[in-house]
Amino acid sequence: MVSVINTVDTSHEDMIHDAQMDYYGTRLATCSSDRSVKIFDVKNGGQILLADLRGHEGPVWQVAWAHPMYGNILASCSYDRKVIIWKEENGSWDKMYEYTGHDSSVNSVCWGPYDFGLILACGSSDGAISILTFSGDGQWDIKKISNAHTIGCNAVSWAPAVVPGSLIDQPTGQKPNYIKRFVSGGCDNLVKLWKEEDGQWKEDQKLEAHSDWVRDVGWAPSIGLPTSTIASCSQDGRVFIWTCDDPSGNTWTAKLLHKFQDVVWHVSWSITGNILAVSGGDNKVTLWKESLDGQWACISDVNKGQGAVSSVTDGQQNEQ
Amino acid sequence: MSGSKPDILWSPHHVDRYVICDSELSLYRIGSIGSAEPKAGTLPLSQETAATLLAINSDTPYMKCVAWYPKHEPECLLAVGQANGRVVLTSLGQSPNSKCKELMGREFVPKHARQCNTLAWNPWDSNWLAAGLDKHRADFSVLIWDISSKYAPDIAVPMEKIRLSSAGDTDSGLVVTKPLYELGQNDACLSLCWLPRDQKLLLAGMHRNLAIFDLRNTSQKTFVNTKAIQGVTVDPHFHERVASFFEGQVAIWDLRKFEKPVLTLTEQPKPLTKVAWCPTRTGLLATLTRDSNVVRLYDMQHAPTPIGDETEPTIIERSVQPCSDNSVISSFAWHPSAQNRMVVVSPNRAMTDFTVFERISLAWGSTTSLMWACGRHLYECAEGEGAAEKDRDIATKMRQRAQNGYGHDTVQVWRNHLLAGDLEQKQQGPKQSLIYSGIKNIVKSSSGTTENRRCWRGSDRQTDVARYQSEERSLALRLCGWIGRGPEVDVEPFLKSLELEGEWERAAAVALFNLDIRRAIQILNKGASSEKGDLNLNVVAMALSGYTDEKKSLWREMCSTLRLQLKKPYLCVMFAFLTSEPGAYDGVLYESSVAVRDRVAFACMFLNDSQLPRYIDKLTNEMKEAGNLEGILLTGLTKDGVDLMESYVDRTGDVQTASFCVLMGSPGDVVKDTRVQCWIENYRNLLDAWRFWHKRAEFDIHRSKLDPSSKPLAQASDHT
Repeated sequence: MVSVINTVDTSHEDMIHDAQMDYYGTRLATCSSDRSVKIFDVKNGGQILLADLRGHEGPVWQVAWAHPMYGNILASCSYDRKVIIWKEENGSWDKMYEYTGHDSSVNSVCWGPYDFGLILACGSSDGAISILTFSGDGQWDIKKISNAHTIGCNAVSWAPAVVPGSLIDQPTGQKPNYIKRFVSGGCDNLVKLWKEEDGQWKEDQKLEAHSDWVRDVGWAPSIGLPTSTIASCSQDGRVFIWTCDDPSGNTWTAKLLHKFQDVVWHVSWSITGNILAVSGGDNKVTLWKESLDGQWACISDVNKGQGAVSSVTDGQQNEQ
Repeated sequence: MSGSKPDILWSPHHVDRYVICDSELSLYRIGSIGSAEPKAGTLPLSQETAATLLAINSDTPYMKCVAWYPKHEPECLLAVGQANGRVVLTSLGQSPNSKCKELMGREFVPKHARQCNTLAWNPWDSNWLAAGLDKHRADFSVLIWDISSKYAPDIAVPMEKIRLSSAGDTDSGLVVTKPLYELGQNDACLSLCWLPRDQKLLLAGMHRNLAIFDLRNTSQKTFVNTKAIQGVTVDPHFHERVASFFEGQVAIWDLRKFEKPVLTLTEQPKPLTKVAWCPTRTGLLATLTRDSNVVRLYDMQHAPTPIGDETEPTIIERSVQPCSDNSVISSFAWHPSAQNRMVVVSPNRAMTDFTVFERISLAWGSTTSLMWACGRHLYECAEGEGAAEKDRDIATKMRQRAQNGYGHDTVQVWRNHLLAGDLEQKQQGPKQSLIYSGIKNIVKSSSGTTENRRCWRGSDRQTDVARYQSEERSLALRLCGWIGRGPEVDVEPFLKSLELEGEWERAAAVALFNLDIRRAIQILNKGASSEKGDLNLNVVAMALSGYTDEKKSLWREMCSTLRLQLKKPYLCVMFAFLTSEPGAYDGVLYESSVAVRDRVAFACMFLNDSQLPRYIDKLTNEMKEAGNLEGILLTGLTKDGVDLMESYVDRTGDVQTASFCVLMGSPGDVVKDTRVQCWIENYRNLLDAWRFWHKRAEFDIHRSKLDPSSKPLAQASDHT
C-alpha cells in the first residue's frame, strides 16, 4: 500500500544521512557525508535546489526544521562537533547561530514544540545533551546536561506540548504552563526521559530494555489524548514501544514491536502518530500500526522490488 | 590465496567481470537474470543476478597471488605470482589479435626461488609491477619489474635500466631476470601497495615492519616496527589512511603520523584473511576471518576530519552474512563502482552477489509521504492512489475529507458519512435539550408508558406481543430514523426510503417489527424481482407467509433452527422475533450485525419500562468501550458521548470526525471538555500543516458559531 513514488536526485557526493520535509511538506532538507546541507523545493513533485549550505567540516548527521511561525529556520549537526542554525532571509540562507559547545560529534538535533518558543535539543558523542533556547534579542541561552549517556547520545526527540489541566482554566492571554520534556537514546543502551523543573533539566525516567546501543528514539505526536508513546530502536535489532497513561508520567511500560535480524537505524512517527516507520540494516522500511487490541502489526514493507535499492547501481537510478 | 581456497578479483574496468582463482583462473560475467533466458552454465548469484563462465585459464600452476592489470587496455591481463617466486603474465578470454599478445607468457624470475606473496601494479606507470617475496638471505624481497622491458619503452625509463633488465631474455625472449628495482635485502615481504600520493612510493609489509620505499632514492626508507604487516591497503578516499592486519587485529595508520596506528580495531577471535576498503563509500572497511560466515564491517566515516587527534573516533561495527545458507566465506571483493556491492565466494566456489545496506534515514512529511535516504539515493514513498479506502491511513483520509469540505456545511455530508449517519436527526425536533442528551437519557425520563396488544395488520388475528408507547419512546424512534416528526407512528416513509436504497432485508424486518407481515412479504418480493435481486428473498417471503403463532407447530420448530443458518442478519432477526417468547427478544437485541439504531428502535417498541433502560445501559457501555460512533445515538453529546468519542479517537486517531461531531450539535458544555479542546486544537494543527488555511478558517468560523466562547487564538503570522 505504500510504494516509492519519487526518486530525488540530491547530487550529494557521499552518503546522505538525513532528509527532512518542512512543516508543510514543500521543502526538503538533506545532509550528507560530503559536509553539505541542501535545501530543495519539492512542491508539486518537482525538485529545485534552493540552497547548498556549506559550513560544516565533517559529515553532517541530521537536520531539523523549526516551526514556520519563527520563519524558515533549519538546524544541522555534524561530526565536526558543531551545531549550525541556518535562517532564510530575503531568499538567501545564512548562519543564524553556530554552537560549538560539544567536545565530540553531535549526532542528533530536534526542535521542541512551537509552544515552547525556539528551543533545540542536541545530543552528542561526548555524552552530553545541550538545550539551546532563543531569547529573542538574537541571544541563545544554553543549558547542558553533562553525562546524559555514557559513551554518547545518539538521538533526541521532544514530547508534544501537553498542558496539565484544562485549556480553559488558563487565564486568557497568558501562556499556558507547559511541561517541557524530551527523550534521548544512547550508547549506554538506555532510553532516558528529561524534564524541565524550575528552569533546570532533570532526568525524569530511565527506560531499560535494549541490550546494545540505542540508535533512535521518537516521541509520538499526541493527537487526541495526552497518553504518551515513545518508540526506540537499537543495534540489538529490537524496537520497543513505550507507553504511559499515568498523568504524572512515572509508569512506563515497554512492548516489543519486533525483533529484527540486523541493526535498526531509525523510527519515525507519521503526523498523527498512527503509523510508525522503521528502517533496518536489512534495507527494509516497514510500517507498523497498532490494532484495536493493542497489538502492533506490520502493515507495509517497502524493500527491493519497489524501492529497488538493492539492485540500484550507479547506472540505473531512475526506477519509479 | 592460500592453498586452493578460491579468491576473487573484480576487473578494474569492466564492471560486470571478475575472476575466481584457486588452482586455475576462471573469468565470469555477471548480469541480471531478467535480461536473458537462464542458460546452461549460468550460476545464480542473487535473486536478480547470475554469472556466466566466460573463460578458464589453467596455464599457470602454483599460483600464490594474482593482480589485474590496472589500465583499460589490454583488458584481462593478469599477473600471477607463483610458489617459486616467478611472476607470469597471462590473460583470459583474450581475442587472438589482442594488443597484449606479446606480453602473454612473459616471466619475471628472481635470482633465488622462493614464494611470491604479493603483487601490486603501479597505478600510474602500469608497466611497473611490484612483487613481494619470502626471505632469502642473499637476495631482495621486493622486486619491481618492468613488463615493457622488451617492448616499446614509451615511458621515461632510463635507457640503461632497460638494457639491464633485458639482459637475460636473449635466449627465450620471454624470461626477464633483471628487475627494475630491488628492495628489502635479507627481509621478507608479505604485502604491498603503491601509495596514491606519489607514483614512486611503495608501501610494503615486511617481516617486522611497515616500510615506505621511495624509488627516487632507494637507499632510504621510512619504516615503523609493527606486527601488523599483512594486507596493507590504502583507503581510496583518504590517501593517507592505510589498513593492515596481524592475526585477528586490524591496525589503521595515518601516513602523516606514521609512528603508531591511529587506531586498532577490536580483535577478532580468528586470524584475518582479507581486509578491504569499500571503493564506493568513505570509511567503510570490510574484514574477513578464517572459516567465518560473516563479513565484519567497520564504519569509520568520521575519522578523517581535519580536527586533529583528540577526538576518539566512533566506529560502528556491524556484521553481515552474505550467504543465505550461512555458508563459510572463502573470500570477497567489493565491486569497483556499484554502491556497497560485493561478490563473495565460498570454499566450494559458490558465489553470492551481495549489497551492504546503509543506514536508512527516515522522515514522515506532513502529507503522509515518507522520505527515505539510503546511500546516495533518496526516495519518497506515499500511499498509492489505488489503495483501498478502508486501508488508508486516517491522516490521508482526513486530509482528503478536509479537501472535500467534509463536515463544514450541510447535513447532507453527514448523511453520506457512514460513521455519523444519525447525527442529522439531532438538528431538529422539539425537545432540543433532551435530544442532545441521547436515547439513554430520553428513555430514563420516560413516563406514562402504555401497553397495547395490536393485531397483525390486515388481519384480525390477535398477537400476544405487547407493544409499548410513550412520548419519549416515540422521540427515540424518531432519533433512530424509523418515524418522522408528528404524532403519527408511521414507518411507511422510512420503509420507502429503505426500498429505494435497496435495503430489502432491513425494510422487511422493520415492517415485520411493525407487525405488518404483508408489507414485509411485499418488500421481499419486490427485492427478489429487483435488478440484481436475490431470488432467495422469495423463499424467505414464502417462509414468512406460513407464520403461525401456534407454539408447537412444525413451522416454528423449523424456523428456530434454520434461522441460525441465515447469513443475512436482518432475515435472521425477523425469524428470531417471530419465534421468540413475548418479552424475550435477545435474538434480536444482541445481533451485533444489526444497526444499533434498529435494535434500539426495536427495544423501544417491545421492551417494558424495566427491561428497556437495562438494555440501553448495557448497549451504551458496549459502544463506549468499542468507541463505536453508532453509540452516539444512545449517549448523545453528553459526557458519556465524549467518553465514547474518546475511545473512538484512541482507536482511529480521527480527530476530524470527533471535532465535527461535537461541534455539530453541541449544547456548549461538552465543547469545554479538555478532551474536546484537545481534538479541536489537533485538528486545527493538522489543517495548518496541510496548508489548508481556508478550511481552517471555515472551521474556526463554524466553531465560533456553535461555541461563541471559542475565539480563535491569536494567530502567529505564518512566514511562507
